Amino acid sequence: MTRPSTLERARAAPSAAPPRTAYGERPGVAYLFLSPWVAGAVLLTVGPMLASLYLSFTDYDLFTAPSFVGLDNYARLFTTDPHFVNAVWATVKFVVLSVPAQLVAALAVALLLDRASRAQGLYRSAFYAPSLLGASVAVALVWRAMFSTEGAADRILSFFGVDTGGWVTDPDLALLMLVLLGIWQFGAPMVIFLAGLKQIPAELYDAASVDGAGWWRRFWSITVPMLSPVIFFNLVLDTIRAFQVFNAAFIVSNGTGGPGDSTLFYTLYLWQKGFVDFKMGYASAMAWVLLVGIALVTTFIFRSARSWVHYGGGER
Amino acid sequence: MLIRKVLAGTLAAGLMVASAACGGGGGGQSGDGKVTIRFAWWGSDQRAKITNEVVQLFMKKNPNIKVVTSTAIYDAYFQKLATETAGGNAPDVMQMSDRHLREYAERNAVLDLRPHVGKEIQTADLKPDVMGLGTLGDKLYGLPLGQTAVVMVYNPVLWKRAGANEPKLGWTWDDYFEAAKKISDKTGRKVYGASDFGGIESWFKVWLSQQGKGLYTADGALGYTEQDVLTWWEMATRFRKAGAATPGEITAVNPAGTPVPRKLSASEFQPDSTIAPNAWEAYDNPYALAPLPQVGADLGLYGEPPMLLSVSARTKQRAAALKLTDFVINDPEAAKILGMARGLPANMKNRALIAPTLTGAWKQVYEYEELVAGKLKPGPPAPPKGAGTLFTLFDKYYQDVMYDKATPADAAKRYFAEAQQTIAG
Repeated sequence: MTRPSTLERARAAPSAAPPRTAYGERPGVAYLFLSPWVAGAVLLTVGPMLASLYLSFTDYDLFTAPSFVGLDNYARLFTTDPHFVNAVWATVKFVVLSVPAQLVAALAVALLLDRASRAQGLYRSAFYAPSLLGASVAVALVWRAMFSTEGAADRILSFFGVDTGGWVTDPDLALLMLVLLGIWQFGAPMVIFLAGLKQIPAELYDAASVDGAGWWRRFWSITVPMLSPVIFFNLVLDTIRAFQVFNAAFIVSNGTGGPGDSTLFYTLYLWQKGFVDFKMGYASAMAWVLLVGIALVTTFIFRSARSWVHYGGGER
Repeated sequence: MLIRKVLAGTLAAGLMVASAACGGGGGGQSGDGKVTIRFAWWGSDQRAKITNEVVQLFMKKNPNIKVVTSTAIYDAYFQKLATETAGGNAPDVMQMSDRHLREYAERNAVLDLRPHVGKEIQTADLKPDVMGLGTLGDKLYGLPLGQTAVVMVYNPVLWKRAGANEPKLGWTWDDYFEAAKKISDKTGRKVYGASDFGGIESWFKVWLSQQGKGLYTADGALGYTEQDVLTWWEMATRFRKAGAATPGEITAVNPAGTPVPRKLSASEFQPDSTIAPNAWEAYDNPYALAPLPQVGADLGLYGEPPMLLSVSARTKQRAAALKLTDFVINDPEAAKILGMARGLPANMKNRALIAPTLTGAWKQVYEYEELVAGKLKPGPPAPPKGAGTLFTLFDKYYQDVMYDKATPADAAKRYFAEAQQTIAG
């Protein structure tokens, strides 16, 4: 955490407050306030991360002392582990399918809610609810029941003449079912979109309407460009979140990533290696590969942002 | 003034964290002089109910010991046990599978019971044949919780209606194919003749044993070849493709159970220790038990413990944990309650004691065990590290075959390569 800039401190300090020197002379107070956070970050985040970096170069089975094996874990991961490839593939499919679809759903609902004036709070909460519940075990269980053979989804589709059998047990559909569950949890980006929509000056729309622009034209020429920083923000967050998806796949497949390896998400496989096969060194190496992978993808998104994200005011 | 407030606040927060941490410790001595231990196992609700009754009896006889029990299905049990053990919080007494024994024993997570034999733990009346599985070298890491053999559960009414030959000792896999196909045809594939058996390593183990092979050699290498896996999966695929065995979406893991309890199949294999005394109540008619089909003259079945009972090496209440272990294995009153919930009692005195009291499906299991008793082999020693992983992998690769995502040859090749790698470490 960097120390607040002079500008921010100046802004934060009300004009009638005691002279700034009162804080400037005793920076210790600031550190005292920061100390719980620093202690937490060092003990709970930085420490374990460094430990896992070290463990990724060892053979560690949780019970006996780790033994150093150099790059063995990484070499194995990339050369001899067939499930690693399957796990990366399943995760990439999930990210590519769920993130754009979720953002579109979130934006669509945000646009609808932005118009509604009455009971907006109620609808907003209603649409946000799945995101609160989404990560929970109960919803994944309900989802599994719904998409099992003879489950609700199966019966409804059969009624319309589409015979899918159970989605959970079908290697082609199991992943799709998890994608749907992911999309359904669009609450967080939706709320952020809604806030972003409120920031767009109404006069832009008024002016466009006067010029005869239709809804579609206003959407593409005003809403999307004006909202692009928010879209960017949501895209980055959602992508990172999607790469780390675990709960739903764990519960729906009973922790196996089945049928076959079709729902073996990266984090699920990582957990299997660490806690089922007792290969904690290997699992640590996987965690670092994931970290680097996410960092690369995020960097790519940031790079691409220059060409499509517009910040209003033109000062950047 | 401000600093003092902040300091006080920080201190208070620190104290709360510290006390919360203490609260999480659990176990051990509680205020009223009682000792608390944890006992965990996997299995059905029925088994949980019966085992909890035994625990109640134990607590009544040992009022200063409190036993907290927990139960789960097999997969979840070992996922949880691994996490708990890694966190230094394993149950004091735990049901253990032979596939995982080495993982825990060689990492000193479970206690060597040998020094306690003849003292806190009595083994004099236990059948010697079933002691081997929990023994590694000269150490004893698990006591047998019973003796079980694999059995075929089938619906005799469907069998008769389809005009199929009744299964009997010495019948062949081809006989099984013919019978199962007849049943599937007769019911218009509403009920299949057999549950697909290809993915379950335990049945593969019997089939190997029928040909004089085993899953593992004495020195812990794989006891079979890629060709064996291929032949087995080709046989299962023949059943499935002909409609004699259940298709993939029915065989796949389902919260409602395997195909037989869902009445989608007329027969499937099981360890006989998983059969409840009232097992047939959910069905339209009582089901029957039969030995597995054979390749040649060898029945291939082992008489081995369905599971072991181990004590955590890190238990803080060793005396209480050992007492409970001995009670579950040897106490005659406990044996009467346990019945056949974990197969035939390993304690031969208790076995003789409960035999005349058995009713319902348990009586059938006992009769089945009598039928095959002379042909059973003593179980192989505990398998090498990685056996638990292979059990899962075997099913995983077969799923590719079951869903027609891979040919048996391709899947067998990939499975075998990974199996060798896993066993090598």
